[in-house]
Amino acid sequence: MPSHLRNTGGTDASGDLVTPSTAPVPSVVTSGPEPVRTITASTDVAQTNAPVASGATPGGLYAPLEGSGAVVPHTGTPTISLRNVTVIYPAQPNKPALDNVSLDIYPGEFVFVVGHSGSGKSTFLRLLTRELKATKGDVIVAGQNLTKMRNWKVPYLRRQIGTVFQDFKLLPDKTIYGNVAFALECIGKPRSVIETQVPEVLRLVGLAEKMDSFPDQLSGGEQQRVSVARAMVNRPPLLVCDEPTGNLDPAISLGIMKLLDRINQTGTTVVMATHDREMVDSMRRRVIALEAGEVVRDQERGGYGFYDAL
Amino acid sequence: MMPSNIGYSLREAFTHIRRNWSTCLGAVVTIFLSLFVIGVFILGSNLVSNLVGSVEDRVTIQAFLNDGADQAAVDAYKAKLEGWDNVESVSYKSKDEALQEYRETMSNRNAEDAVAALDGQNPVPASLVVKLDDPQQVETTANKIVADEEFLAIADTPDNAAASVQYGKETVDRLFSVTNYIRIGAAVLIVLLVFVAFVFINNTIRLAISARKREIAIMRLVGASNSFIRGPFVAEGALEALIGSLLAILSLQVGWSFLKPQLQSSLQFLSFELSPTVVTGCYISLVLVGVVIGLFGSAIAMRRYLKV
Ligand SMILES: Nc1ncnc2c1ncn2[C@@H]1O[C@H](COP(=O)(O)OP(=O)(O)O)[C@@H](O)[C@H]1O
Ligand SMILES: [Mg+2]
Repeated sequence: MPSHLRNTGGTDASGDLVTPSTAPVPSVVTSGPEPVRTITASTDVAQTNAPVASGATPGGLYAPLEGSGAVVPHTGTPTISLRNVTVIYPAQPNKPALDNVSLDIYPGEFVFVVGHSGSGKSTFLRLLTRELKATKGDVIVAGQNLTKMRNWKVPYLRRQIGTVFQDFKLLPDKTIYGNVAFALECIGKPRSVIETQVPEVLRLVGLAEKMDSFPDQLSGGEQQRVSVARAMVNRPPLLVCDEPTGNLDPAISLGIMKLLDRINQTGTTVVMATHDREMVDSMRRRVIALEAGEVVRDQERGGYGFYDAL
Repeated sequence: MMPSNIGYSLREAFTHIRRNWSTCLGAVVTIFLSLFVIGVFILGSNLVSNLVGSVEDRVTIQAFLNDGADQAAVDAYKAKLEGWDNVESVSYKSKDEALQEYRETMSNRNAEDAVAALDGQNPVPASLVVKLDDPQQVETTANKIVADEEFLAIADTPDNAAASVQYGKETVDRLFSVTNYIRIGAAVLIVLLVFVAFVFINNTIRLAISARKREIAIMRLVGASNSFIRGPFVAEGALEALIGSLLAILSLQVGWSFLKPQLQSSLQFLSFELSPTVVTGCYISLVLVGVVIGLFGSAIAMRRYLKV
């Protein structure tokens, strides 16, 4: 694994995510060697540009999460780097799904990707896992140029990226344990590793008791926790979520959001596409807003925006 | 692209076969049938060529000689025949030897009277017995002898040379045409059955792929390598082929052990022994052919239906 994909921040050196019982997830404030986080210029922009959002927070569903909201310094090599990326689907040759997008995402960041339906959020995320190849431009993830990457290397890229989707994608005839273990079996992990890591990650997402249940015996929120557990069980340094709370009640969404936030605080870079205005407004993280395939806003501690349209 | 996950692949393949046994049975049966026919053909043609071999030994040309023929001329002609391309050997059979042989054949047929009727005379002519390298050339060579002036001088019936030259024409012709027909028929049947087996394997693997669509999508998501994803389908193709070929071997073995005593008792003068090396070689090649069919069938299905 390239060094810049390693977890950064206050976690122990191994980037160990899944030991909440012995080592509570360190909050950014108390973490040891991490330098004082600097608030960049864009944060000021965010604060002045989003008055509505800050006003909405107290009355909103979500109280700001403790320990969250710190701005990660944009130093070192970005985990994700897009250079003039254009994606054109053959079915819509005149309407690029992404249009000349350039952006950097740094290790340890939590980034919301917001925008109307059809604005290109999923397209952006699918670029990162090389489910999709850029029509033009370079997509660099973990130091590798995905536009030029050979197909046989793609599985090894994906082992470094956890993915969570709106529809959970669980296997109905496997237990919760089986579903999470499957992710490790698929990449040839030995049984001993599977037997220690799976219960650990299920404890992390709070489902240790439901290990032997089947997905249809779980609520939507619980199922989504399972899929987060599956995404995290191999301890990837990057987590990509496409509307993970899109199918869930606001209260349940909050739980998932807290989980993702905790994962982020252990140093995992999280990129999350979402429609959930309340959540984005309360989290105050970096927001990249897309509109018709173009980045129309990229701000630290941003709000959801698009107030007129919604 | 040997899968690194043989245990997992086999488990998955077994599960799919168990759950979809009726379609998988189709694949197994067609593989079994094509291999069975191939096996019958291999063993059968081996048997036939053994039999033909013993018959071919007897495919010789006899050129009968005039009683008054000059011994020097006969020796010279014998030497000439030995010089021909297709001739393996030429031996001289004297009148006495020929008579002796005649006597034996007759007494074998319980026709002692015919021998007694000879009454001290010897009407049987001497002959040159010509063995050929290639029995299929028997007619050409016989005609060549008939047309030879030099032979005419010593022939038993110089005015009708053809009558002095004899060979087992009909037996030979029939034998060759029959084995050729069998060969062509078996080849056509095998090609047909192998094709059908391909289609069936292709179909069951396609079903296996669509039954595991969700799983494959998740495998891709979490970064399973292509060979891992293909593993279960390769294993299933190979497994069905293996079962089919083992069934074919079993039926050949059982079938032959029933058939052999019956053939042997009705055709006692022929040998129906198959050498163990031939049989083992046949069985090994059946397994190999089966596995090749299975692997190719699943490879083609994966190319078409499994984009990894
Ligand atoms: N497979 C596809 N083929 C053709 N067009 C597509 C495909 N996927 C998405 N699009 C188009 O690309 C644009 C962006 O889609 P998408 O990235 O899914 O947006 P979002 O996730 O923000 O809703 C839309 O106009 C959509 O219709
Ligand atoms: Mg989408």
